Amino acid sequence: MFFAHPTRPVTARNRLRAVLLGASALAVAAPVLAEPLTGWSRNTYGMPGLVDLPTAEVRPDGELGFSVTGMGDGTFRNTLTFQIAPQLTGAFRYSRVPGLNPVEDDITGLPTGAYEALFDRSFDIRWQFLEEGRYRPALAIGLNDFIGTGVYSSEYIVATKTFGERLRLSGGLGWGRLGSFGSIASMGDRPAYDYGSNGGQLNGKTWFRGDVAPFFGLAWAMNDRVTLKAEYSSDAYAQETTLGDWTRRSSMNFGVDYALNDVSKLQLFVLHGDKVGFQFSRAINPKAPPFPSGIERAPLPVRPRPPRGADIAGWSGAWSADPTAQPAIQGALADALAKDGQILESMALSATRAELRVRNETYAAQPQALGHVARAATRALPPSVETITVTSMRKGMAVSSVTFRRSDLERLENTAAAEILATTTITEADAEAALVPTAGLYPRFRWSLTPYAEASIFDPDNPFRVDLGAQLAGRFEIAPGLIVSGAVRQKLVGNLDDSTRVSDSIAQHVRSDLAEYQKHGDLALRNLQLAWYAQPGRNLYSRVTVGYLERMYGGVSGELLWKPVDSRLALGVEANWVKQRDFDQHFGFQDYSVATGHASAYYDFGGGYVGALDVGRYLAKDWGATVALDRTFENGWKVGAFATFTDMSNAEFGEGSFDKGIRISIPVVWTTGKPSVNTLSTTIRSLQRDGGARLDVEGRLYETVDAAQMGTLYDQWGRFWR
Amino acid sequence: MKRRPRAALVAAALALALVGCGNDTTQLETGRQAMSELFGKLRAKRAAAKAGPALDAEAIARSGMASNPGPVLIATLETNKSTSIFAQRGQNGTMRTWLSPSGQAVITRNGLLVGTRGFGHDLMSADTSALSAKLRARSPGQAAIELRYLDGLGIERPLPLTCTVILGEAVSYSFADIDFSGLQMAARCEGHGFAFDASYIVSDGGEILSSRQWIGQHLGYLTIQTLRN
Repeated sequence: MFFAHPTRPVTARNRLRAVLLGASALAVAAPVLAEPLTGWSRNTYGMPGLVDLPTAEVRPDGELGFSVTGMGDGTFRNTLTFQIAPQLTGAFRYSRVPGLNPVEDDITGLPTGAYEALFDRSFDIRWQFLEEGRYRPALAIGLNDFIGTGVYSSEYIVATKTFGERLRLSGGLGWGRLGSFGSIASMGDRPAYDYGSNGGQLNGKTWFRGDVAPFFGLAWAMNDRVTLKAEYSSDAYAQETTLGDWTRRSSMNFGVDYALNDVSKLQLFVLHGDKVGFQFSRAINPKAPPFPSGIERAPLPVRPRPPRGADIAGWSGAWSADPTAQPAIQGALADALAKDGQILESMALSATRAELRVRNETYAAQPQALGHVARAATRALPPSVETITVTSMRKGMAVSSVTFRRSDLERLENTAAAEILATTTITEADAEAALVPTAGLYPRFRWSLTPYAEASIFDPDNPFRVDLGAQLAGRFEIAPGLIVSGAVRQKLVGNLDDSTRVSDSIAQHVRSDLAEYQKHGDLALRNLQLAWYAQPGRNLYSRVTVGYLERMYGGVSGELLWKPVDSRLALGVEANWVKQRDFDQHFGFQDYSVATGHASAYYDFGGGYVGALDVGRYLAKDWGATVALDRTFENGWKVGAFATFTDMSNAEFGEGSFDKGIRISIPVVWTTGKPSVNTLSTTIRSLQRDGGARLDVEGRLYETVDAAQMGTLYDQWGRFWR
Repeated sequence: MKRRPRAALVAAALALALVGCGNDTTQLETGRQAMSELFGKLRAKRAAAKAGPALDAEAIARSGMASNPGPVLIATLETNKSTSIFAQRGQNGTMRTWLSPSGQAVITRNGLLVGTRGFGHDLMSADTSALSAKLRARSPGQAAIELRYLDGLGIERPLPLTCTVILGEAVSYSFADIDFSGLQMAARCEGHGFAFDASYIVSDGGEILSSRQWIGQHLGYLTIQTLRN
């Protein structure tokens, strides 16, 4: 272990403080305990494993992995894995399995006897419930394809043990696909899967049912780059053999894995003496950015005050009686902060105290922005000002106040970040402060002309389509928190309009007509809205948005959030009345309108896990709830999953049975090292249908407020002196 | 024929949009970064093709002193041989903050490196007071220091090390028309699997005139020559 325990004693002022400081202590304690057994390579499903088989291994905590597996018969498995917790691995897969999908007659709907390729989405989960010991193997239990359409469904218990430094043996018992060859027993009935069904339900009734078969194999790390693998497979490849051109000549599979570099791997394998295949995989570890500290310009340092004798007038505070003092100081500070990419919105100043209300438009980590403001303040404020409060403004709302003693800033400049944190107080913003708005800020107009790309990746007819074009966006800030904004997109090139797929949804087409919007939106108004943000009471934040809210809906949206500055719990309500927009995305509307809204609860469980529950009425007038769990890393990475269950029947919902997906959000600064408040976000849905669909309104309150409140400030405080 | 103006318009919009233009700085980075990366690569290629003689450090030092009236130092990062002038932009007790024209910063305390900014794997802060006392007194022995870095999550991690200070010989040299003389000193610092060797030339008054100091594992050594104190 490289880094040791901080030498400062832990003087926890509250629970969050303990969490923050505990993180360092944990880093020392962890290696002493056994660590989860990390996999040398991936199996054909992209999970840590042998060739086709699972092992008890995991990936490094927090790692995201992408893998593409191709086989000689035309099978493709594209897998996204995420190490949810140190011993819990999850995967989402989009596969192509040739010849497994029964073709139905277009008119009668009856099977024609022909088969086509099955495009299938599946989720896996594995828990390493016992770590490897000196004599005992690591043990894991796993479910494959447990809510998908079921073609890859199997369950297993597996043990893996390392011998020496280069050899690992694994063996286990499998059910489902992994129990389909060489079974030694049978545990109840496992209903055969109906390939024509909607799928998507938790197929819990079949887990660990039916035939059980043993499997085993070994991996030998020949050197640091090459790993050789061999296994005895208990997967009969029954469907592929019956319907496809698969021939199971042997039960043995062999593979060789070659590390191209630290993060990319290439693998070749032979399955059942019949099919050859390859895999390319790449890992992204949120904990390993290219520039951990960033490469932004250094701020100007603290300017210590002169001795009392050298500036008697300044130290006396008599300057505060001069009415020209504050405008001059405020103007100078506003200019200095503008150069730093921050906006001094307003300021309160007395002989001994200053409060600066600042909007950060540059730094992903709010403590870094606060550090810059605090340093700028020491350079601009007269010496008698000892108390400096920096209030973080988000969309005109005062989200939190951080108060420093100026002498602490002078004394502790460029020391351990925890030192200054211990002398700092974080509170809700003072509603009574005598603030003077900075002159000339409003109205403020901002515009941009940028490229955009929109891709469609899960269409079986053409798994990858893309449009490229230009987006013209504008933002007119009338007053703090009162913003008109809009964006227009002009497609330049692309093939999204080639799609011939028509929504087969029998529910109201509230989302499934996406392809129609993509086809007809040559020159499209993405949104055009007026938003008003306010703080109607203590710990309360509100938003009202009117206009063309998103690509498919326009109307009115209102939201209220209760979120105290130091609370793990936040509660919100949102109510919307919206009408569906025309496919051309100009100003017209279709006939469908709906009142939709939710009551929401958000809870920060600690350790980076944040849960959210939304209960209410969805766009298709279905009632239900969405549960979501996100893992948030201190550096701003977020990886989460969500699922929505509503009263819309599985039949009405169609393929997938209910709405679910994975979302990933990566701060731009993580990838480039350059300061930025933006994130790269994506939501991967197994399938966008009409049930459980929500309005996609911009600027929801929770994220807006949370980024500058206590939990996040503590998490990111290490950047204060950057 | 009718489509022409539109095609031209589209081409112009594409060109503008590729770079990204406007005054909303929060929206423009994607295009700008892509472009600056592209141009940066082209420039680097052209520079590599030219491959002229490396800029003379003494020439950089002279021009740096001419353009900055206050205290100035010159520093070279060994890993990429980049040399830059750093002018003092702030002083807080014995701590000084030096900025380069490109916005990188070097922070020193009594001449010892206690921080860097804008290098990418920066030294966030350091407690080097015990080592500093040994160097100022020009006395050999052991001193404990602590260096601090941000890990990949942005959490500050301390790295405590133990340094052994030894004395070398007296030296005199001249750099950029300035004469320096002092005592060679060296420190070997070790701990937690890390080790580095720093060296210093310390004046009779106990000031560090020039030094080779360690920023961290990734950035390696920084050579610092004081020009105007």
